[in-house]
Amino acid sequence: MSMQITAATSSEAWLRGAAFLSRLDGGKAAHLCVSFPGDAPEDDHIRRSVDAFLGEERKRKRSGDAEILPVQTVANTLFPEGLYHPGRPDARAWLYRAQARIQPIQRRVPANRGGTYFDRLIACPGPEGGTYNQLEHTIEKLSRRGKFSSTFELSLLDPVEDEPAAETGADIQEDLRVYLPWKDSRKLMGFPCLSHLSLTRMDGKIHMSATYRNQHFIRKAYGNYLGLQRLLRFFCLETGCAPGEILCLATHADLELSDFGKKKVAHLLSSCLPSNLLVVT
Amino acid sequence: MADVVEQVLMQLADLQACSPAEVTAAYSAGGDLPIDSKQAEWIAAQLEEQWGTELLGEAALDPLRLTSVRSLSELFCQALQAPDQARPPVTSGASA
Repeated sequence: MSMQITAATSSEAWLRGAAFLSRLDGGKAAHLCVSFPGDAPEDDHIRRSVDAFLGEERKRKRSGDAEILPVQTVANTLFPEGLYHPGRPDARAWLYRAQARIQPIQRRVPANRGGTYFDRLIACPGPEGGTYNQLEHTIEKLSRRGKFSSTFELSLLDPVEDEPAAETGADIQEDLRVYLPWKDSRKLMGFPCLSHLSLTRMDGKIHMSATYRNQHFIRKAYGNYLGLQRLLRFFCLETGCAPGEILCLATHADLELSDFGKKKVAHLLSSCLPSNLLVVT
Repeated sequence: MADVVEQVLMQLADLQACSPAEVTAAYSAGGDLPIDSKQAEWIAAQLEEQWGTELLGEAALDPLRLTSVRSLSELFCQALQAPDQARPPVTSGASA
């Protein structure tokens, strides 16, 4: 049932993932896993095709439909690149302050009242109040423990209370929590679809894996991949490491054929291809 | 509008850690300057505090409308002209 796709770029990963889903009944799969280099530039043609499609569908949007947003906006929910300027001496602290600054404005939109993924990373709510900056904690540890290994498992441990348990070698593994059992477990759908991020530092590179419990492949996946790349770049700039691989697991991936229609999706995928390969038959 | 654009450019320079002259020159050269919606929200937050009035309501918070210095400045001007908004003094050179 599971599918592993290894691609040269995030754009190709998205296209090949979507093509795989389009060949399945209903366009849905469990355990779709894609990987691509963290520093590979996206394919402009594919990006333009996806954004054009989303723009058209957005115009057609009916009241009550789930939001259809540009790729850049989706990527911004995971890492707001426009607020990060690495040339600034206090770039990290500035980024955190800037995100906190825009929160009251963001929350004027009802869909954003629960915050974004980035909010969860820099101000993760604890079960008994207070917040915790997972990004800062992770960067400090990646920087401090460069020669040692440390591991902690997101789903089992509390990021505040439970420090890494083991140092077993030259590599480092870090996990960041997005899904909060005490806050999110009653929801059947909606935010957050991203549950878990894991970082591994090995041979001077940082590799990142992400788990989405549900990934909307047309509305979100392309922007998700782009956001992951930007977040990884941030970690690398702040720790002096090089970007490694990004691996993204969608435990449930949905090509959203029931929302957009098989023909339209097939046309989108064909428009992304350099040749005349027909993806959906 | 020109005063508002000037204030937006000042804030953008602060955000991007560059000089206002640099940002103003880029804006003048192209007639506009692209920005990201998160940058737009940050600029709005700064100017809302300075001017003491809401500049981006829910309807204006559409990422497709927050794409450039000019489009953001137009949204601010619309908000400032709304009858229920007090018109704030626009002061040059202010930066947070």
